[in-house]
Amino acid sequence: MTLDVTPVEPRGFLRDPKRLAVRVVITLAVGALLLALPHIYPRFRVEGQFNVIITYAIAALGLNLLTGYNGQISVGHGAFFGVGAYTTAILVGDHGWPHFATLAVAAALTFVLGVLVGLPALRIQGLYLALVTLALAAAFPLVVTRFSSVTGGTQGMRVSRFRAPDWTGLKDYQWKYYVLLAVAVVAFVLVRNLVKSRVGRAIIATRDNETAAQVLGVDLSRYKVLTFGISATLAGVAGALSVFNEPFVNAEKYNINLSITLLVAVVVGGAATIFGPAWGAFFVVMIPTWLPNRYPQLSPVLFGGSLIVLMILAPGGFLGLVRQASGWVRRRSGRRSSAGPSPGEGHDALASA
Amino acid sequence: MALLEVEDVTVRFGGLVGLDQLSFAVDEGEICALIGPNGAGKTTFFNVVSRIYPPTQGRITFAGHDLLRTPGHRITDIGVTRTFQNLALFPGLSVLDNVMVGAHSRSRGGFLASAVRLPPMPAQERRLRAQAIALLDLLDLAALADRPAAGLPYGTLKRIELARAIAAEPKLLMLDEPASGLTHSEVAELGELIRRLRDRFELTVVLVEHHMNMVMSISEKIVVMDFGRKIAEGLPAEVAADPAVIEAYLGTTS
Ligand SMILES: Nc1ncnc2c1ncn2[C@@H]1O[C@H](COP(=O)(O)OP(=O)(O)OP(=O)(O)O)[C@@H](O)[C@H]1O
Ligand SMILES: [Mg+2]
Repeated sequence: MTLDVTPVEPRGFLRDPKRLAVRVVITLAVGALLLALPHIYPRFRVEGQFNVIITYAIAALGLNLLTGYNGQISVGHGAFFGVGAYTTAILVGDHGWPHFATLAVAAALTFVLGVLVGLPALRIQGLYLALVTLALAAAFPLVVTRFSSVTGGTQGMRVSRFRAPDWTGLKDYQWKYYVLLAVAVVAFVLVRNLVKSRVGRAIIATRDNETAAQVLGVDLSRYKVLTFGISATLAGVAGALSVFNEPFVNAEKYNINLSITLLVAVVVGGAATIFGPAWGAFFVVMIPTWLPNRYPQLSPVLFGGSLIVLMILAPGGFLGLVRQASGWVRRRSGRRSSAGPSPGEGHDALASA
Repeated sequence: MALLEVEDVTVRFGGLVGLDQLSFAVDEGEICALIGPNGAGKTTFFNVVSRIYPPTQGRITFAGHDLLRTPGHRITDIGVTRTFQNLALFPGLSVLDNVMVGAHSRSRGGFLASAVRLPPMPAQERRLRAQAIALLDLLDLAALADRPAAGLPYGTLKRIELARAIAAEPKLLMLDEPASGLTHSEVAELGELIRRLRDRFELTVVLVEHHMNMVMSISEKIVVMDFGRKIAEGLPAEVAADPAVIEAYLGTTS
């Protein structure tokens, strides 16, 4: 009793060579730009902004999987980021591990922690889950201070720098940038594959209607807990990488602000879009640098204000806006040539990929 | 041969009785209608079979399985699926993806295999996609494949849910008021469609529906419920002539 099947044409952009070409060109251009950045910009930009954006993007990618795609709110991902950061700092600083080896430990540790938080999260939802994860974020600096013999507490601890190997001929900050970028690319590709698979559909279905998802065979607990674990892992890896970039940790770096910043990055970039977290990370790092800094006390207010304006203009986040605009342009050009793809069928190259 | 056997199933909601010692059987390949006035317990019965409500007593056997020992996410594995009285689509997914979720239980691959696209995954994905498109085509929904499963006419959404249920390749398909929100001629068409689907996919159908014309024309057997109890069972003609049924429907107290 199988569904018999007639072969079908390729779908979406593959059917349309012009759009495929546009996509390839955009991908190549973005790739070239990303590779060129650390040679165009000075060290303080790369280290202080671009590398930070990359680590936030990876963490927000994980948070987006959980909150955007699976509907489980976490206001505590800064804690997983912090656990990753301290894992690398302690292993490199106190035990002389090579930087790369610590990534695996940070990933494993935060996966287990994510699962441990995900289990009770099965029983709590919405605002309650937000509160519980918020408590996690609030507790993390306290835990770090409590164990200051290992962590360095509020004083923090300094770690040996992550140096570029000689064969690369790169300066340290450039090498760090490429390493972080490479991890980010891998992370985004893996999450993209996941979201576009049967597992990704089950994750979204669970968000949209748990009862129906379960009736269709989705094991809700398994999917929700594993999503939590993987989401935490990405935040943990991002935290570990942040120590590659800036070899210093202290209790206050991973406070509630960081958790909220990550959530803001998800929403501003476009929740439940693949590249939204990257754009969101870009905005949360860059907007404060664009604001006038004559009155530093005002900058949190200005930052908050600009977020409010952004969300009013683009309730679906930045990529929601891009998608809307590209749909509009396509309909316009479609009407003129009356040969464009039908509305709703197209996805923007960057928005949907 | 009976595919589904319901024995003495009772559901209580606090003091209220949702199902009261309900017993009946559905034969393989049959279209069995489950009718009764509002609040009779029809949807409650579906919720028991799909393991959403635990019954306080009773036994349900499906194709040799003790259904009440099967966890909710495994009922599709043994061949049971349903639609919902009030739509239960996934609005964040496209129409096509909704139907592909229907095939969840007959596809394989976990987080890791999906993230790295292990060799069997892309092929499976292509096959599921092609099957889902074929199914959408069969239900005249192919043009909507890439649209989000929201903001479409009610009847269309109901049909998408039907496609999603069939994508699970069930043995037993339970339909909860599939004709609600349809126009007169659409109801007749839907009746025909359900028959065709039954034949083509060798389904057994339990149909909850208030449209009596459709019920009478396509069902081979009717079970009538009132206040959680079975008050009649039989061929359409028998049931239509049953005084208890007429009373339940017309509310006459004689
Ligand atoms: N979760 C619940 N909690 C409490 N009472 C419930 C619950 N679900 C159903 N009921 C009650 O059980 C009775 C049967 O409801 P059910 O939804 O099964 O009726 P139905 O036959 O499907 O009616 P309709 O034709 O209106 O859909 C009703 O009195 C209803 O209020
Ligand atoms: Mg009902």
